[in-house]
Amino acid sequence: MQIHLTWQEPDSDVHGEWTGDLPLTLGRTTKPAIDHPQVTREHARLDWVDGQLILTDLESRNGTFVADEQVDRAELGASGTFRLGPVVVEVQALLPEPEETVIAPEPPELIETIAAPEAVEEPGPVDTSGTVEEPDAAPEPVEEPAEEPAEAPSADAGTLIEGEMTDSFATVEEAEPIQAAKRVDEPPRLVVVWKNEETGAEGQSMEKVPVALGSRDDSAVRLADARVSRLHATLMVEDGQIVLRDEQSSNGTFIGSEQVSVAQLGTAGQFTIRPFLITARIEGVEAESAEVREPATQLEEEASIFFDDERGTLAPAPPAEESGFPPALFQQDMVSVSALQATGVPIEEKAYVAIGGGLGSFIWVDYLRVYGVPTEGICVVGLEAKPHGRYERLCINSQIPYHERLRSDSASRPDCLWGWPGYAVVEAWNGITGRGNLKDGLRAAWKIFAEPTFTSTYTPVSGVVFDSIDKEARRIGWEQMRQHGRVKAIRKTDDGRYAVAYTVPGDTTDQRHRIVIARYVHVAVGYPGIRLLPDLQAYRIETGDLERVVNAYEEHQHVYDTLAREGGLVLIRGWGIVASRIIQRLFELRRDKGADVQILHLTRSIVAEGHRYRNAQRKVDNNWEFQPFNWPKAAWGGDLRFLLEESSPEERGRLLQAWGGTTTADREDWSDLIAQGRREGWYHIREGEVDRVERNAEGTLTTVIRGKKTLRAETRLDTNYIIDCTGLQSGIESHPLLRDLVAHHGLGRNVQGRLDVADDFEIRGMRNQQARMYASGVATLGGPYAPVDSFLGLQYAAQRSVNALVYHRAPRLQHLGALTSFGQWRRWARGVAP
Amino acid sequence: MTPTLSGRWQTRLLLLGTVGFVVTWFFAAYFQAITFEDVFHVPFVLLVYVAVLGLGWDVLYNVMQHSRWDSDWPPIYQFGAGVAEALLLFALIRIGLVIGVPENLPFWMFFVHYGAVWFWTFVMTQGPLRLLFPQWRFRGGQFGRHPATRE
Repeated sequence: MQIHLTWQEPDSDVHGEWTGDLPLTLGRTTKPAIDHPQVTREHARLDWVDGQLILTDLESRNGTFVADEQVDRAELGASGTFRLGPVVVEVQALLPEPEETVIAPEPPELIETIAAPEAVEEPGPVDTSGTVEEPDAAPEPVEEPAEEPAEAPSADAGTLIEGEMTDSFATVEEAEPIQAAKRVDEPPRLVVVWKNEETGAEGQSMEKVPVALGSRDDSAVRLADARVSRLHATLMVEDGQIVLRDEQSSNGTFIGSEQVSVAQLGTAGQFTIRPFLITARIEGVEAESAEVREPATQLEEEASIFFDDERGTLAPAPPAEESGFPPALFQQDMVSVSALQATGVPIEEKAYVAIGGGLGSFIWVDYLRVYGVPTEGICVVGLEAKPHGRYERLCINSQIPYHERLRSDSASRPDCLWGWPGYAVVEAWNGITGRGNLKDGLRAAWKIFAEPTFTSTYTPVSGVVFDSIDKEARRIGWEQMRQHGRVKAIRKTDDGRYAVAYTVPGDTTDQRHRIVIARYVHVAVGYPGIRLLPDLQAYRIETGDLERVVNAYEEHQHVYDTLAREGGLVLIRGWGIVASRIIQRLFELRRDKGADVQILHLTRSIVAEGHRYRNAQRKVDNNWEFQPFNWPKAAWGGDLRFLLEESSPEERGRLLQAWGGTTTADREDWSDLIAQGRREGWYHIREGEVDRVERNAEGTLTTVIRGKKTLRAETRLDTNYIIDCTGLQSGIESHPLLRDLVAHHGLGRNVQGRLDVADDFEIRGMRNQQARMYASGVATLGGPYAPVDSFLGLQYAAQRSVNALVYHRAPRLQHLGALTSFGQWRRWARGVAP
Repeated sequence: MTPTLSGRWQTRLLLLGTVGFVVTWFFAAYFQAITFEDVFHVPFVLLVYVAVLGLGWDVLYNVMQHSRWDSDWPPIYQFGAGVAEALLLFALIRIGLVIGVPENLPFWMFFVHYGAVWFWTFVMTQGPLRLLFPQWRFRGGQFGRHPATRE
């Protein structure tokens, strides 16, 4: 049996083609050779058995995939697409049958649009870039009609392949015929954004032209409304221009108020299919005007769930703005203190003001106090009763109760700027002296000695950390300094200070709005909120269902309660530390409650190799990427910290990329659990790009994924719950105070779009004569320091800024020399005020 | 600890010069007392050798450290480094390359002195140094304050 093979390496132009006889072994050292580093020497074999192609994996290192499912053996029919590691291979048996037989693809009315007008004949596999993979076969013009479906036997190839799938959750909704060869230029893609003007539901997708819009389930852009025709309109690209064509719809397509049958939209444009407002643009073209704003992008930039610190909960919308405060004078560039006094708003004056009131503020104020500033000189404005309030809530929601361990180092003690004795030392000491558990104590001691090479990294118990912070808060007089309030705006004053306007929630008197003026201000407001993945947010907006799709940082106990009773299938999105903990929690339901809980873990692409930097590489196991903390350890105080600080903004962007990414801690219990789950069949990893999430007839969820590298078919995953473990919103746009600060003072942004701070964390552009303003926490990510949102990172930022204030001779601050430092530590150890 | 090369050198020299010196003085006096010979200088010579050879060792450690993903130097590596340095130094003594130290220096003498110096400097790096120098751990083991930012 003769076959024709083509292959394409990911993200490059390298491809190859071969025609020859079966059986055939494919790999790096075979003939033909697929010379990609992630392809094994002998990777897989193709045979012809009983009239179909059989693909067998030869225990390759990075696996063989069909329809994004890893396979040991698969039946491909007469043709098919599969993947050797990342390399996509299309195979077609050269059967003695007429090649013209084209199976009419569904839907019939789309034939015309599917038959691409731009079918280009290419002279063969020769690539102008010079990186040609050209084994045995001589270059020859490809004869198959490029954009048309393949011939008869392959029409059901997709079904056959899917039939082989062992994944019981995956049911194939629609298997598009596989294309025999793709020797054409990629057709341009369109970004289509739609919004239902009546319900507010919105969505976005990127589609290859032609794009069909309609109410049919399988429309490229599905507009679910009775007034929309099944195939309502199509979008094409001609001569670089988008062409909109109404497909004789019942209710018409409009540009503005004018009904159109065919219209040129240029490279981007807007039109209406009632009740939807739709914008389309060619991929790569920037949206031009403010009207052509993309809701989905906006979703990514802005938090979908906000912290409501007044009630200590999460809210779906940011706190409402009040009118009349701050006073109109705050519109000016510089605020006059005498004019402020004339407004009658109560004004207080302090040397130091910390804005936020969370851990960032606490650690900065702790430094000030230890360096000699009395409580009278400091004011902390925030809403949390305790500095760890919000952090604690996020821990509990993400299933880290007080007895579970955080991902933090022993010596990262937010309550002790010296970090000694570390939590592990205390734990070991308590164990040995009989106050704690001896085994835990000895384990802690061994861990901090041998971590991370010979044992997993020590991490402290969350309850212990919170208690230690409470104790330090009492020691430094946190309550005396704390002012309950929400900061509205910060302005430079004409006498070289800053005016901080804040509102006291719950205060109904005329003292509700207040101003505090200070020369030294520190801003640490933390994460603005939680962000759901755009498709999940779209689902929530569309259905109003907040029960089945949850973010791991939200309160979502009901998920575990129901699962404990009824069991069920949970789809997990995200691969960080939170996902690890959630999976452990779900496992506990299986173990302790005997609940039949199954986990489907979705990834955009299988991670075959860990990040590389210099000669080092991060460990990868079962698609999880590991490092003890969220950055390489030397980013806190070693050579990587210096390197980042000395680098240019662009270089910083590259370094952060190389060191960061989603990782989890390599804890034995977690990795054992994943292995166990795979063995016992209750934990599955699934690769695919999510197209949309829908509510299905049974009232549960359907996630529609599209294979990324192989089949273009859709796969539908039915699950009871989806838990989004992808993290917190870290952009500064979602925070009203930071947004106002940046906009009003015209501040610059760092390479990642956040606050631009100097090496000592001073906010560039906010200096006002002698006055200085500093920031810390995630708002500064992308600047001179990587681990800004960790305990130790907050301590570093505080140390740098307080150190700078000492150079600046700020009042009451004294340099901490060796002896004063030791003296202050002794006060700390004895629990005496600084 | 995640030291930089200059941090290693500074920390090594400072700790050997202080903690190491005190420990060495104690052993020098002790060896003098029990052997009735003029060996008071021997532990001090060894201390200087540990310091000087160590400057070279640190370069090697720094290279090794960079091949670790975390670019760190866990305590157990500090222990391994201490053992390697001890083996080399004792070999040098035996082949007579350590001037001022008798080739037949009893192993136990070398071991208790070297071991005590290593142990106390190790303990210092694991915490107590930070009590005196709060910036030390953020500066890769270098002493002194963060530089002023001039903007």
